[in-house]
Amino acid sequence: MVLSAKGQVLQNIAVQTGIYEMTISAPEIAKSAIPGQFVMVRPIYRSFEPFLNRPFGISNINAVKGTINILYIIVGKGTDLMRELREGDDVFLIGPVGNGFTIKPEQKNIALVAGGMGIAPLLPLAKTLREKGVTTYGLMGASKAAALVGTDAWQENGVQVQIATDDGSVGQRGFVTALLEDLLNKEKIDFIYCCGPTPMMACTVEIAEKHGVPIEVSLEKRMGCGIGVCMGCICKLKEADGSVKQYRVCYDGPVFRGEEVVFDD
Amino acid sequence: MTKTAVNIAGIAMKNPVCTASGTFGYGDEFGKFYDISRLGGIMVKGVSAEPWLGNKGVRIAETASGMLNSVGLQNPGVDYFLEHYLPKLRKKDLAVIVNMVGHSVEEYAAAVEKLDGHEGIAGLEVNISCPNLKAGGLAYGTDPKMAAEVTTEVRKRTKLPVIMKLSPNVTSIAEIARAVEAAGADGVSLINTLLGMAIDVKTRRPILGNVVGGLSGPVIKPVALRMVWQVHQAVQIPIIGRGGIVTASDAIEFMLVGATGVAIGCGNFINPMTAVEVVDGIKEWLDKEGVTDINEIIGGLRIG
Repeated sequence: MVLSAKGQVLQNIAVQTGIYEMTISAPEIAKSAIPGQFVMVRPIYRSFEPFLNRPFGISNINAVKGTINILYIIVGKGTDLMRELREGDDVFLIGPVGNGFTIKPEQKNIALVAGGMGIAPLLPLAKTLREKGVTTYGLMGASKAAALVGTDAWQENGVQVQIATDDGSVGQRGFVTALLEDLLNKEKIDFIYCCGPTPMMACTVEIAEKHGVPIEVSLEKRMGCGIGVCMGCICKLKEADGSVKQYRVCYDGPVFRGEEVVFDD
Repeated sequence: MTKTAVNIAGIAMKNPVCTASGTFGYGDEFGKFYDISRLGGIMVKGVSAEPWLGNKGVRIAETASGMLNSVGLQNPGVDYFLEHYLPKLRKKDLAVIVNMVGHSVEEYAAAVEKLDGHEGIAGLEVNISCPNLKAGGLAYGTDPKMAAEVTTEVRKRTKLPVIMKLSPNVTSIAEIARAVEAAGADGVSLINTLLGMAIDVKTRRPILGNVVGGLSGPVIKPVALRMVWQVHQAVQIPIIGRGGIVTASDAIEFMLVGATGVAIGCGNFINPMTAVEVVDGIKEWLDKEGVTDINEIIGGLRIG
């Protein structure tokens, strides 16, 4: 059930330079959200400025406490206002929106591949996978150590974490996709979940296909509404007959089967 | 009991609140938030005789109190609409106004011929802000002769009420309104989006893939109110007013300057409950003001 609701900020803290984590009390959303879904956030409840809501992948779902978390990086007007929010402030939320990841019982060995802030939707997924008792490898790529988020939460959920950074300041120097190549050469992986920058996801899908491992990706696009009506966040998918059709990232996704996505922008 | 029903060019609506084309899909998505039968009407996303893919690149840019879009009227086409969406909408208790688009008079004619005669369509809204490809991309709605020509061609192909959706990108919107009225339009709907741009100084490029796009949201409300007021004085046919409506007060303002109906546009994006909140808010205002029939406030602006 998708809701538009008032949420209350419980905590809003910097987790890295310029990267924040907000814990929001939103019991109805927390009750129904599944990993891979997102929320549209308006930092000032009932204000029309900034005008559009911002989409954020849900980075933690706590149905018992009735809370959700989001991770955000300061990029502009909206996130700048979000940073200013304090405990007790109200935010406007629409959620949970979009389709989450699909989890199949036959999956025993899973790889999560994240790039930067793309780790957000893969955090609650790790928690769910742990409850199912599967072996999970978490491969994280970031520009540098100071841009790394979420790997602690992965570890807490029993994920076997490997890190790659562009400058080698932590983990292996290079791209996260190199870690995936190594992992797929060593281990039998049943399924891959991926979220990150578009070129990184395109490369991850290519590697997954080469190794014959099914993959789901969570796409990110500039969104107007987040609820399927503005046609702002269009992506292209390959159809079974070879044709290419346009879909809405917010409504038909954001999670899609990797092999069907056309990564052309 | 306060009367909230209005009749717009033969389209009966239990309240004056519609959702504007391109902001509400074909009704499916909002069913998750509320029963769309609470609305007076839906103006469905614009349909063309054949499917349109829309524009490439970035389609949305935020502005102060509003947004720009260059979606480019992506739509699955009339046939798909009739087969997949109209049957569902027919079961709802609201006026289904089908917005239609075209790149040539022939395309408009083809669309109306396909739409005419289907049960469950209360009226047509004709978007004439599309570029006329034969006239070098000049929008139909910016020239009184071209606007009248589309009106005539649509008019003679259907008995349904024909509402022409006017472009604000003109010197005199009253002149265009008079032209479409003379050509047989049953009503007008205004305003469509204002042509605008957004620039990224880092890259020195336009943000929108299409370079220019349509501005909407509360930012355009003062312009829209002025235009509805001018058109109300220029023509006899009813008006559906719109442009930045996000509250009941906004809607009432449009009715006071002469709109019989109102439409909620990108207000649907920022709060999915906007349209029903406006429906409820109008009722509350009427009761508070002691107005027993909403029709009494149409054009009721007090000047002097």
